[in-house]
Amino acid sequence: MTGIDTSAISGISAFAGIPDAELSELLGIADEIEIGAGERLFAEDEPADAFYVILSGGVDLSCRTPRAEARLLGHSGTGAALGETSLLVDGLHSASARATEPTRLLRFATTRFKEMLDASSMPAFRLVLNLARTLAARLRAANDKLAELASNPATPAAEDDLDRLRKIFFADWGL
Amino acid sequence: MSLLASAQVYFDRAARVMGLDDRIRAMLVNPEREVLVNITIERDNGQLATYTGYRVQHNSARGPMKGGLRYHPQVDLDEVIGLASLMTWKNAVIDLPFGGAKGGISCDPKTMSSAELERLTRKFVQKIHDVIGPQLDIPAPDVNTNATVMAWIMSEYSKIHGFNPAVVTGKPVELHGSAGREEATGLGVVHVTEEALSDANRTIAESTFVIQGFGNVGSNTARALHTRGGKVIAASDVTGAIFNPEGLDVPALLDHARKRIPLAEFPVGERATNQDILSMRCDVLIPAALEDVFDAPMAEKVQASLVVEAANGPTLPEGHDVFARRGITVVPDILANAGGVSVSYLEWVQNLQHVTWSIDQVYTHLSSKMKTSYRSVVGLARERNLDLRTAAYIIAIGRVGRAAVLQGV
Repeated sequence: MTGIDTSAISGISAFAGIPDAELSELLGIADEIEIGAGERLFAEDEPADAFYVILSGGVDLSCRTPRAEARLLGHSGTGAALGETSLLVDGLHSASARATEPTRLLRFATTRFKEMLDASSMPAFRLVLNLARTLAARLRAANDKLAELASNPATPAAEDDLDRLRKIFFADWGL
Repeated sequence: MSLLASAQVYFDRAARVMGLDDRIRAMLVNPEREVLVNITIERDNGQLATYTGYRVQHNSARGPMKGGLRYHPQVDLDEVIGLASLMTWKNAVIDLPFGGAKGGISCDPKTMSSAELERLTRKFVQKIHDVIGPQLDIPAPDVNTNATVMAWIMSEYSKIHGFNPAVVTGKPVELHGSAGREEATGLGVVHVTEEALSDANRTIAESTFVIQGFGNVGSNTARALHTRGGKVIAASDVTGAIFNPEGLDVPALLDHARKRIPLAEFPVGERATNQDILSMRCDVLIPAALEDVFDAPMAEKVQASLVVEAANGPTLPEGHDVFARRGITVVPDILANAGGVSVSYLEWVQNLQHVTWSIDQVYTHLSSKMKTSYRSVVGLARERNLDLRTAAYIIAIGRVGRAAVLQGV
């Protein structure tokens, strides 16, 4: 339980269109947490067992490249949702989240949320619908980006040029 | 069109034949490093003067970079970049283990005393000493620089890095220079001429020659042709030309030129103009002075069956095309006049080993280098039905490209 008023979350897209009474029901399974600047919220490859909403503050999201270099993916601020896919599928966090300033969040434990779904809770269904819309929009943007990369001749695979260099200088004109 | 613009056209033609696209061209055309320094010295009159110096290192895929250092009022960065890339191709076509570089200082040495030039040279070395060196970049004489300037460079570099004669070539023979450096370019011209004539079943002794230009290269070419029995029927310098269908007295002409008397005042033979001798009937025409000599109309008038480019850039692309259409063989500059840098290489080799070779050893290596290079160019030209210039560029680009690829680009 939290002492959070529904007005604190009604403007957040994950809760859009959910009536106040149902928001209160959802807030009933949430915990309010606070982390300090530099503190880690969760780490890449850890089990994803909760969904978070940032009430104030902000976190950096990063992941490791195949060469184990840290790469910053982006920054999430007030109103952003984190780890939402954990409500839908079991798995690991695909990125790490670290607070860049003192940050307050709502934590929705996956297990408790699934219990609401099992109980055919309307607010849980509405939240899932909102998450589905968000994820569908992200998928569409990713598809558009892929199509753009595939059709842009200025960015061919780097391997192509080296293969061609070898062919020209050794096979064609190796003399 | 400048020498550099022509060279760019020839490079592009070869690149097209090889199928190199813009990304590969960018790798080959852009210099690795461009150094610009400003050098202030005190003139003899007590006034300060500031000069801009350049060293451009074009490509090191095949080894330490090598190229001349020139002193001239018109030296600028663009010119030095173009000349540095030409050195990469020239060094590669004769298979020296060198990349290409070039340098210069924008100054007018004709208005400067020897002491001023020495101060300028030493200060230039102080500013670039960390980017030159025997295993890095090895300067050599060029326009308005000579063995004395190279001695100053060696001296100043050695003050900083310890005794190091291999940092520069073209030094005085008494100071770790090589025997044969002075006449190397002219001698190299004669070696490729001999090979080209033998492809036409002729010899130097059976042939007639016209030489435009009688400076270091022209005069040494004339001397080497004469000693092989060749008949030099005309020669010219900036003042005019001298002509004798029976053959000029080359030793007397060399003596005359050594006294710095204009060639046009040579007592035996007929007077002619520089233009006249280019269209004279002869077997071999050797431009050994200026660039941009053969445009299309001039190339139409040439009556020689062989043109050997002892000078840099004597043939414009349109002249080149006329020669190709008329079946006149042209031995291109990047091959024909590479004897100078070849002996520079031999000087570097001697310096690294702390040995001194006899002139015969130098001549043997030079002859072998020039003839082998000529054979590989002709071999490719015949195999792929190319003119010698395109073949020479392709061999050079191919060698640089393979060296780059083998090192992971």
